[in-house]
Amino acid sequence: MTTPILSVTDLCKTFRSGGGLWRKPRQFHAVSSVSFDIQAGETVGVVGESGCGKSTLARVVLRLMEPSSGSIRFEGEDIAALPEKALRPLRRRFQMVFQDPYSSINPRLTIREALLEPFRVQGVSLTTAQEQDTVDRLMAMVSLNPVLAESHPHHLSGGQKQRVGIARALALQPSLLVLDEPTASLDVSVQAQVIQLLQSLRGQQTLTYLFISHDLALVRYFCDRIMVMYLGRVVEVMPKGATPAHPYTRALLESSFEPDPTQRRSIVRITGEIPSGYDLPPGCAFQARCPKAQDLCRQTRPELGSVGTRHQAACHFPDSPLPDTQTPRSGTAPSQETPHAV
Amino acid sequence: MSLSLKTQGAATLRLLGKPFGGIGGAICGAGLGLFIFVALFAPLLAPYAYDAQDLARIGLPPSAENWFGTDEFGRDVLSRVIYGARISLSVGLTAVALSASAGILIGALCGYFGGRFDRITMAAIDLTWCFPEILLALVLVAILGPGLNSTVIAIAVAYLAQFTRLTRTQVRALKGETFVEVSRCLGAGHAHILLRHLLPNALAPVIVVAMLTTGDAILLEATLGFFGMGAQPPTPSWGAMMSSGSAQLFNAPWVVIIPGLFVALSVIFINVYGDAILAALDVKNRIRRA
Repeated sequence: MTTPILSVTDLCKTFRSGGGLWRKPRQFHAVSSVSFDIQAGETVGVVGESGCGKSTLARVVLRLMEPSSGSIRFEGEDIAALPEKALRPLRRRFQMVFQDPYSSINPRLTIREALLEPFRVQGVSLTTAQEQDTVDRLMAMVSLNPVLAESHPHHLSGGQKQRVGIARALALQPSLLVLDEPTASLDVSVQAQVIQLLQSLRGQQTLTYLFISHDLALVRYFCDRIMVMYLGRVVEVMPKGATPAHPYTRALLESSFEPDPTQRRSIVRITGEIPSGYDLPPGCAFQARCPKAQDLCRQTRPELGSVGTRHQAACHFPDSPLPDTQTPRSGTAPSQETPHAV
Repeated sequence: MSLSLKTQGAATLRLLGKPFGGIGGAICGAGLGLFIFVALFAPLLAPYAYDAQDLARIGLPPSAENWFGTDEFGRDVLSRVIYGARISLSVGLTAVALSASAGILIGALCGYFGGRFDRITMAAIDLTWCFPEILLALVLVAILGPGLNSTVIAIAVAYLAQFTRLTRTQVRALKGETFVEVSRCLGAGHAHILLRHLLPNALAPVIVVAMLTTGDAILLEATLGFFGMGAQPPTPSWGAMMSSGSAQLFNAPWVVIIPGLFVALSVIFINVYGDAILAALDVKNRIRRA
């Protein structure tokens, strides 16, 4: 196997809040020991409900936020340890498309200036003719009318702004593109256009995508591999088309609708509240809401373990593909989550 | 400010086109322009020298020879008002320019970097809120010694806190915008983010406040002049003229009333014009209309 383009090991991000002269600050565990590899050319999806740490994960991976611990190897180089100044020239190789297209472009800049910003920032000097060519090429790449180059962002629709965001992220030809819910704030019809654009770009140039979304159906359609996050942890990693093994993924999947009335089925609702990231319960993070939770789940946190080819789940009692689902899986490393000081 | 010429033109048109505030803004802008013109060409416009005494013509009421009358030394009040415009306007404008520049610099750095540096600096700046502006300015002039330079510095310090606070708040709010994160993701350094993204978006309200503060600064200069802390005789400033004329208030009221009238007029002109500019340059307003 070739070296992965991105290799994340034991990445943690903890936020501190409150605290004073006598009180200890509280710690919020947004991302806890996340590890994964992405191969060049692969599209990996990250799904989970709001607040599960997927956007934080994206920002920490790109060092827009400082990781609390863990390593991030990008093309073999540990970017988690680099000082910010040394990191800046490397940033052209990994870019991000942000969730909110409405505030992602400086309202005072024209689209043309926004598209040329990557070159300015990275110190690539362009002649006037080259600038014109670059802007034309980038706008053609995302099928934007070149007339829009001189307009300001408030003249553009949300979908057009998101295209500008994509073109700007791809301006310096990065090898990794992180997409943080790029379609979440767009209309359904515009969403489809943006997804199609991303698919065709993937075909034209060697691009690796890390696609963050809360829409499991979309991720199953768009991605080669899916990581499911719950409360800052990866609970399942599965290849495209696999049947979920973790009860949480199963519940997520059942909550997405089929566009066919004959496929209608009753929804198994997840009851209960998501626990607070401030003090995580011992054992499995999902146990309070899991229909299958048993004593073992309340005491010992399950680690990610193989449940099929390239398919891993963090569950003591994973569903099929393993036939024997009611006995604890062998090889599960029992680890006790220490309760956090409040 | 990266306003294109076209937008500025449109803003000016809108300024004139608005039925009520527009006309008022235009008149006050013209009045302000006239004051500045008079200040610039004072030696050509003044009928007499500002310090020419004529002891035979002390305390005369307004007449054909002396339109605004004469003061207690027989000096022509009109000529002194014309020369006084130079001191009053330039002290007001210089002090505000100085105060705004320093405030923008400190406020932008505090808002952008935050942390301990921000807290210590802002605590020091906030100390100046504790005193009324006039008291702060008086104390500073007393320390530095009376004169025009110390007046400018004192007025600048008196208004520093409001510019710093305003810029800091603006920069802090903008720092969280996605386009700043985008720029950081592209590999931009602090200077690029501050100069290209934060300040151009933060400055519009600061400039408007600077306009409005200029009126207050002229008033403060007049007050300092009235206490004898500003321009030293025989140099005329509107405040100093009111101060020295106050002894004659009942014999020759014009010596006090006329410079006071010009202080009031220039403050009104600047405030109304500043309001009109605020309405015309408001970014949100512009986006809504476009």
